Parts: sequence; C-alpha cells; structure tokens
Amino acid sequence: MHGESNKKWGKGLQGAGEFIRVVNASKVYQTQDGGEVEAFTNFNLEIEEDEFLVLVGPSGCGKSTLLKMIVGLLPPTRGAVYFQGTEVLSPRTDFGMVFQEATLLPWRSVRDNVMLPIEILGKTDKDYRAGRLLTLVGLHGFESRMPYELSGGMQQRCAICRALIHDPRVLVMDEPFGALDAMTREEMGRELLRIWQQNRKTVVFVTHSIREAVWLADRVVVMTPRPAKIADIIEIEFERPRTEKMQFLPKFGEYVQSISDIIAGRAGGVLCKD
Amino acid sequence: MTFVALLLLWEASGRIFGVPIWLLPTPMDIVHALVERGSDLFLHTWITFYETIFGFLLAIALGVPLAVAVTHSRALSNTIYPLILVTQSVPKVAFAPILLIWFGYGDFPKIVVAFLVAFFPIIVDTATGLRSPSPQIIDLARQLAASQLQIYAKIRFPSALPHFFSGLKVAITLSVIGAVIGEFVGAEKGLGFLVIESTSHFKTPLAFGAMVLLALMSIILFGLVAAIERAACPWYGREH
Ligand SMILES: Nc1ncnc2c1ncn2[C@@H]1O[C@H](COP(=O)(O)OP(=O)(O)OP(=O)(O)O)[C@@H](O)[C@H]1O
Ligand SMILES: [Mg+2]
Repeated sequence: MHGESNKKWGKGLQGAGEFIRVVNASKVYQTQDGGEVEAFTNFNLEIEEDEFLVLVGPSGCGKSTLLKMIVGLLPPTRGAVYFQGTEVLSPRTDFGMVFQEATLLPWRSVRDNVMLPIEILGKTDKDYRAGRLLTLVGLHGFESRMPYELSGGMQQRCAICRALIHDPRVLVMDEPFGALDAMTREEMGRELLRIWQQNRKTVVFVTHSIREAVWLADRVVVMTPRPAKIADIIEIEFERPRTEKMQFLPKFGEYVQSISDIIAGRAGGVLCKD
Repeated sequence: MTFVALLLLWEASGRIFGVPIWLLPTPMDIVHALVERGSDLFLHTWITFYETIFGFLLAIALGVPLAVAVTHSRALSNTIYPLILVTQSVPKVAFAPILLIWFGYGDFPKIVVAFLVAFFPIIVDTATGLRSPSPQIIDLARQLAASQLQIYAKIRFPSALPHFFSGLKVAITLSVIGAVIGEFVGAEKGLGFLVIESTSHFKTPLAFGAMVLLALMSIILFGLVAAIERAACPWYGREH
C-alpha cells in the first residue's frame, strides 16, 4: 500500500516529501460499550510543503481522526506522524485549524475571536495581523461586531482568520464549508484560494464535495471506507491561480469522474458529486 | 393590570360576602395589619433576608468549585454526584429539626437549610454549562497548548454563565423557602417565625402580611439575579 501510494505521487522522492509524513499509523478507538473501532490501519501519507492537499472519502472513514493526529491532538495507536523529520508527540501550536462549524465564542467580538490563539499563546499582535486578515477576507469594518450579527459565511471567514492569526505553518481544515449553502461555498473556495495565493502555506483540507476537491487541490487523496486506506492519489494539473473557467474544461469533468469512479468502485458511491 | 384587577376582586368579594377576617382577610386588612405591627417587621424581614442570602452565597461558594471538580474528572463526578443526590433526596423539612438539635436556635440552621436547597440547582446547572463548549473549540485550544486554567478562563467559564444564572434563578427562590422552613421548625425571629406566631394567635391578616413580604423578597431577589444575568451575558439567546 505504501509503495503504491508513493508511485502515484508524481515527484515520488522519498526524502523530499519530509514536510509531513504519516508512517504506518493505526488508530483504534475504544467505544463506550468496550468494543474497538479501527479508524485506519497502517496508513501512510506524505504531504509536501506549501501544497494544497485535499482528502475525500466516505463518511466515518477516519478523515477527522487523521487530521487530529496530524496536529498532534490524538496519538496514533501504532506508527507515527513526523513534521519536518521530528515525531509529532504533542499539539503543534504552529498549525491552524478550521472546522465545519465556525465555533466562535459568542461573547467575543469578531476581532477578539480572531485574537484568541494569540492570547492563548501569550503573544501580542504587534503588526496588527488581525486587521489585515479581516480585510483580506472582506470583514473590514466588522471588527467590533458580535458573532450573532454575522451570516454563516462571515462567521466562517472569521474562523479562518482565527486559524491564520498566528501565521501557522500548516492550515488544517475539516469540511470548513460543509455547513454553507452552495453559493456561499463556492465563493468561500475562491476566497480561500486567493488567501492561499497571497500567503502560501501547506493546507490539509477535508471535503465531501468532489468538485470542490478538484477545484482547490494540488493533490486529491481518495480514501477507502474504514479502516481507511488510500484508494488513490490524483494530481490535479491545472495551473495556479485557478480560474472560474477551469471548472468548465473537459479535463475538470474527467477528474471529477475518475474520483467518483474510484469511490464508487470501492465504496459503492457514498459521496456526492457537487 | 390583571394583578390589580385580581386584588380589587379579592377586596370586593371579601366585603360583599362578609368572609370572616381570620379565615381570609382582604388586601386592605393585610395592609392594615402590617402597618399596625410597625417597626419590628423590618427586623423580621432583614433576618430572613440575610439567612437567605447567606445560604445562597454559601451554595455558590461551594457549588461552583464542585461543578469544576465534577467537570474535570469522571472519578470525582462518580463520587460527588451520588452524595449530592442523597442529600437532595432527604426532604429538607424532615432534616430541619435535626439541624436544630445540632446547631441550636440561632440563624445558622436556617442558613444551612437555605444552602442545602440552593446548592443542587447551582452545581447541576454550572456543571452542564462548563461542559457546554463544543469539542472542536476545546480541541482548538488544546492544539494551541492552552493550559487548563486558560481553557477554563477563556472558554468554559464564560460558556457556563447562562447556565450558571439559570441555576441561580432557581436557587434564589428556593433559598427563601429554605430559610422559611428553617424558621418554621424553631425560631424567634424572621418572617417564617412571624407566620407561625400569628397563625397560632389567629392573627390571619398578619400571617398573610408576612407572606406578602416573603413573596416580595423572592420577586425582588429573582429580579436582581435576572438583571445581573442580562448585564453579564448580553450575548445569550442571540446566537443562531
Ligand atoms: N472518540 C471516539 N470514540 C470512538 N470512536 C470514534 C471516536 N471518534 C471517531 N470514532 C470512530 O472512528 C471512525 C472515524 O471517525 P472520523 O470522525 O475520523 O470519520 P470522518 O471520516 O471524519 O467522518 P465524516 O466524514 O463523517 O466526518 C468512525 O467510525 C467513528 O465512529
Ligand atoms: Mg469528520
């Protein structure tokens, strides 16, 4: 399995992909009733610096678990995660996280929500990153609004600013646009790419939308049902910056089709195409 | 408005049907009795008030740390909760005479009863509140290597405030009842004592007067807690 995924991975250099490596990781959950759930077994994945990596796979296959392991919140039962060659044994404070729900603190203003990581890390926002980030996501002028005064999309933008405020090396996003309507979702995708273009960093992104995956990703990792393995890794060869038009190229449809086929072939088609 | 109308109806029907004053006094009788009693009403009200407040504050002082303990560790939760349940299952009215034997006739047993009834809603609601933040925001804090102190100060305590205040609102009215129960069992002062004393002499209007004062105290204290709540968490109930 390891060898297979390595072959698929175009640049295929064992040493060059040392930014993040998941090596032979297994995760077994103990359930309430004393049973065991195997999220994945002997899982291997390499993530390159500054790449936009998207994970797709059936619900419950272990994507969120994998992300928690990568940020150091959850130790693997067996195997290890390496970041730049050192094993991840405790939470990586130099990563940023975004979830499906914005999870803003309702008693804090937009600005104070964005500042939370800085406060926790005991730093100060010397060069006023908060203001610049909020401007970057189009929340300029909303700094002192309360979360309940924002739409769902605006809340999620605020959550993205919060994840970026401490200038993380890696941005980890677990279905960040999953709770948004289709139109907002597309807009947020565009914006995320724009932010990423200006402020390149490694992104690990989970989604249930194959179109979103193809549109955003450098590589799409397709996972099998639990216990998850890598079914395939698809390199998306569209140039950057991505434009709207690319979504209508035949090549785009081919990518979407082939990813759907991989999932359908192995999982019976649990994912939706858009 | 309806309240005033009801009072008028009460007054009118009392006079029209000539209900004996010792059975059901009219509002005017009650006011009259209160005015007649005069200055020591203030003392009785004050006694019951401070027994209530004392018990209530004691319940906060003990309830909040215990709620933290219960939230913090499953083992503590499993030992503390059954104990609390036992204390709550014992009827306070039955327990009050024993407190009298232990602590005598002073204010203390009343404070203890007020405390005992107020304690339960405070610990249960506060513990619920402390557990209310989503696992994701806690994960986010942990990923930033937040200390437990930071997680409590920045996330859990503020999240718990609305629950804490709903506990307080229940607790404050219960505290008043607790203090009165304590006084019923044996006291020389307080509004509860006044009710017992005046009914034993068939001074029904005065007993009603004491109850009116108790009700007023409850309402004012409840309003006070509600006002503090609105000031402390104006954001609550406005999330979508
Ligand atoms: N704390 C836990 N205790 C026990 N089992 C768990 C726990 N967390 C997750 N699991 C199990 O591990 C498996 C993987 O869960 P995970 O949340 O990682 O899936 P996922 O791929 O993110 O799913 P989704 O796409 O629905 O978000 C699931 O079968 C789930 O039931
Ligand atoms: Mg998930």
